[in-house]
Amino acid sequence: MIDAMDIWDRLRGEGQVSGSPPEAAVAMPWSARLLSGAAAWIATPLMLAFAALALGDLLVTASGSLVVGLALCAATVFPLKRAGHEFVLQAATIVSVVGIVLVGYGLAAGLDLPETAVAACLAVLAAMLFAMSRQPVHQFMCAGILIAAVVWLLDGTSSARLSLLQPITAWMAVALWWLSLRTDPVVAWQGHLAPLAWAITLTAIGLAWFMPMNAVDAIDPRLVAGLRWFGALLLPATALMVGFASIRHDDRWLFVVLVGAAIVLAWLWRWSPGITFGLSLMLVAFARGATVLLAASVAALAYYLVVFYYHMTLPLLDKALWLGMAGVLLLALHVILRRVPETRP
Amino acid sequence: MLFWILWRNESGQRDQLSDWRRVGALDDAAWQRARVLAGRQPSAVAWRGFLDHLSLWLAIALLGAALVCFVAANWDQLGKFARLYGLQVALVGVVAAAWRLGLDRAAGQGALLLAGVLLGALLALIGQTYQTGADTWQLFALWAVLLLPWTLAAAAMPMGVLWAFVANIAVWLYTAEVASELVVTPAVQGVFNLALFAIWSALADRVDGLRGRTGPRLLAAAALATASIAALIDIFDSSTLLHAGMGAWVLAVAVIVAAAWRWHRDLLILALAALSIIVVDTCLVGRLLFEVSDAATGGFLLLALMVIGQASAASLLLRRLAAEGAPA
Repeated sequence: MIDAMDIWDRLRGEGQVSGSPPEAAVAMPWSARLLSGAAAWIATPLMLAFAALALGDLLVTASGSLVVGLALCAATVFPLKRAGHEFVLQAATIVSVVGIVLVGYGLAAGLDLPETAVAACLAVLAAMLFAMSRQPVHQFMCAGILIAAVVWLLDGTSSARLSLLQPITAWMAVALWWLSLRTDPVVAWQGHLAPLAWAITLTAIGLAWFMPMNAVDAIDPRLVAGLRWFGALLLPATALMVGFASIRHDDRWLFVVLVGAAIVLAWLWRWSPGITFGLSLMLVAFARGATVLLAASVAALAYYLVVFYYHMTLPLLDKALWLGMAGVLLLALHVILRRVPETRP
Repeated sequence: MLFWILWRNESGQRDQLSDWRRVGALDDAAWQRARVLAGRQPSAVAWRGFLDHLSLWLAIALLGAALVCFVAANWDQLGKFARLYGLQVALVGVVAAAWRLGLDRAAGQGALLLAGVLLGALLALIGQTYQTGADTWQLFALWAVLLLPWTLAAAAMPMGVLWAFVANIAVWLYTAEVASELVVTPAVQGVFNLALFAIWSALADRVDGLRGRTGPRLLAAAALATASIAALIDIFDSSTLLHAGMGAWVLAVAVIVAAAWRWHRDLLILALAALSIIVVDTCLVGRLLFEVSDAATGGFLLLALMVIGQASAASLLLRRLAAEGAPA
């Protein structure tokens, strides 16, 4: 394997670049950034409490909280658009999110708007702040508020309806991760993809809790079955996608084994959409080289195995059978991978 | 784990090229050419290693979960001897597989880990079948004791973490049962994890399987988290007279900072210790401020400034250590 410096030298030899590669900026160690960020999450609420007490009764009135909320959102746009100290970025993130909450309170209490109108206003505000921000945690939180507002608009009180969103959000999350991997880093919106993908990923993980194992009264049984298959198909689709991009040309047998195993696992776990989603996330995380996403997908998978255990509509012995079958299949896959030789083009 | 190193190197290479592209060092043509030169990433070799390990470890997890479900089902059609002997046969089979595969291979370590989980299921089944009347903590304590020889034989991170997890639950259940003060459980747990951290750190340089920073980092985080909770209980619960929480916290912070300072200057552990100090002393000063003074407005500002000052000082120190070559 050649390293990045070798590639630079080759490019220079071909006349594509000149001189030395740009020096990497002296970055703050990530442990120090972690400490600064965590300190911001402790200090900023204290500062906000001080400010709230200093403002007196202003925040109690609906119009006051609306004005202060908008002012907080506006004040943090500039620091969140440029790279800065981690403490400042995290503090601005908290202030901005508190601003959105105050705006929501002001709209609901002061203008006496219907719930859907408040949700629509919050969605628009969160989308605007998301688009303007360059800070990943802030983008993630704005995306989260945007998704929550959209779910609210789609009648978030019905868990049966919420469950319909799970396969759609799962497909969206994997598509966004894949798009962020394939998009040129100089494209303006490339930096927005990962925070949005994180927000949608966590939404899909959360929504899988509501996914019915069997038909429920509120939803047409054929629709439930269709959604189950749609969610399960994500795993073979992801295997095909990552396999086509980086395995098919260099190791044809590995590609065949991966796609075949993905199809069988998708069929086995069609009852439990969280598990197929966790496996799909694992594949896309490995393709991206994303360690944190890989760890999150392992955690999601473990969580959904626990959820599967507590699904009361399936007897425990059936669960043991499904788990055992999937375990034996994976062991067989392990043996096959050891036996099948690497194929080179 | 060669595939893991290869994967990390390939990811690092891709990130480096993206950074050069982002700062404008690579134009469109150079960017396309650089991607061709870098080849397909992750490479098929890395994928093969990943899928090889994923299939093995996921199979172990699923088979373990299947056995747990099987036991939990309390299958009435089988007699108690069939259930007990069935699980024991499975346990012996998995241990034999670990022995046959060898503990120097990931598959052997995985089999032994599964055997460790099965041991807990077997103890639970014995307790359920014979209604021994034993407390739950005794089950976990016995599990930890029986697991210890395998943990020593494996001398590897996964078994070490499993043992620490089981032992922690045993300590937690025991102290929660016998202690009358709320503070005792997190205080004892903090000291217990501190002792495990010290042992692991001491062994890390001598035992190959325990090398690396993950184990000590997990245990240091567990010790600091539980000791900090104990200190916070001491601060906010005025009925506590023992001050065991503060004592455990001071001990945990002192030992962990000293060890992290001497032991490879681990910046993450130092950052976690600094965060623990900030949380505990902010709460302590906050309680004193709001008890002796009714100037709440100024109190919040003072506390915020305290946090900012301490975080800045600690961050400066961490940056200096990083500049001297300490690992982040």
